[in-house]
Amino acid sequence: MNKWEYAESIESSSIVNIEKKYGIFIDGKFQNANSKKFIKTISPSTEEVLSSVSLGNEIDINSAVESAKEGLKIWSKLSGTERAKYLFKLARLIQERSREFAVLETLDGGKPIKESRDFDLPQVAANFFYFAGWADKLDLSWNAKGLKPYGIVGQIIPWNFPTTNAFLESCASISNWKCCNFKTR
Amino acid sequence: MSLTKEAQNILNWSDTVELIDNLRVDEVGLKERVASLATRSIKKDSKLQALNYIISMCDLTTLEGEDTEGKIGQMTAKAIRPDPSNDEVPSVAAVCVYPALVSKAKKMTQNSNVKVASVSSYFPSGQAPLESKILDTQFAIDEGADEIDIVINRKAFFEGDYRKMYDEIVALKEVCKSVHLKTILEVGELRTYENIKKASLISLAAGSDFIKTSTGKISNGSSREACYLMAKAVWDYKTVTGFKAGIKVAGGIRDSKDAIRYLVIVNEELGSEWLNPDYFRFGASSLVDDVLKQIKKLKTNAYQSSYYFPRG
Repeated sequence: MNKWEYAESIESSSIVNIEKKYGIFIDGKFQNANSKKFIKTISPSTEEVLSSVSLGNEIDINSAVESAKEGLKIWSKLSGTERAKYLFKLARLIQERSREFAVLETLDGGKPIKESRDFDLPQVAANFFYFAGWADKLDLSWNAKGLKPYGIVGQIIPWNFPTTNAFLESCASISNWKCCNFKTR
Repeated sequence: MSLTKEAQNILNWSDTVELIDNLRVDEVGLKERVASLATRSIKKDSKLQALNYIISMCDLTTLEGEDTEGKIGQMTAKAIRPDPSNDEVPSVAAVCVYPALVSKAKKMTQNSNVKVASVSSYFPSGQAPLESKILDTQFAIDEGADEIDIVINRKAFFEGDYRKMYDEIVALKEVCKSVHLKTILEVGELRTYENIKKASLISLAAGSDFIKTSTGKISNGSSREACYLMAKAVWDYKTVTGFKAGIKVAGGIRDSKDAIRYLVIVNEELGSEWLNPDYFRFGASSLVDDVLKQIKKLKTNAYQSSYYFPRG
């Protein structure tokens, strides 16, 4: 007898659009990297090349830091309530497109869809909600009056929970005024 | 461990003991896995394929004290042609009746592929001496049954006398010879997952061609967890001996959705080779009606009332 094929699942890889090449995201948009170097990102399950991602160099990092410094000027003037609004909005956006993110995470990292869909992405959204809640309460807690913006932070993200870790650290920093970080993987 | 030709598919007792020794089942993992298998996406074409599989794997069953030859006639007609309005619907695999009605069922199905299965060995309780069970089984075979459904000796099983349970099945297998032997475990009464797997392995080792979940006579008949464990037992037994046994799920499977989930378990745990009436069966009385309705719905986009389908 023939093999029994299941219907396409709602987490099928056809629900996401991946471009052939990605620049680096600086100053609110994707830009060509100064290094002109790309690395291929492959799907571990099929070894299919999903896309090429830019590899930044020192000049790219410097321009990211410059851009972040500009950003910090605006961001640090915002009140906690205002910062919280941004974070809440981000959390909701992530929830809205959670399924697509989960598929991407699975394609890219090779972890089971069950884990990325049922743990990673819900956790990311939850982290944003959590830190959004903290943004306007920092002054009221732990004798933390007079907190000042810290500055720019650089982050290096480990491989095992890429989305979760990247967003966890970002939302924590944004909430706490540290502001505008950039990340390498 | 290996099987000899003379022994058919029977494993000797000392190897059987080794097989069931120190048996453990991870309950949490089992439930989690079974629940995740229930979420597979079965729609449109794959659903139609599944529904046709289910019909072709069905043992249309009536096991009531009120059964008459007339009722068997009606049921076998339905078994041969489940939906007269649709040629693409296959015949069911078999009809399952009490020994006294085998000859009638056999007469009705003589020009078709539908087999006749008979329950025996003092179904459903199995509380009778071995001699009576052998007579009961021999009678059904003499009447022309192609398949025999027996119940395990639960009394012996719960008393810890696994040897007695094994020996009884071996004795009945001798009576059956080449007639297909299905052994009913009655998983609802076995209480623990370890017991289900243990009973499965003993039944397989004693020469069963099929292991079957339930008689259908108790309220908690079949469960997907039990089916999963039985699939695992069949796999383990195949690994040890090379013999490919089948599974029959019966007892409380009334709708297509549920049946499809059983199909998924077998498909993923044993592989598509098992998706075939020789290795997987549904024992049911009302399941066929729902499956026919679903097939009709896929074709016409409308649900039909029960009275558009044959009774039986």
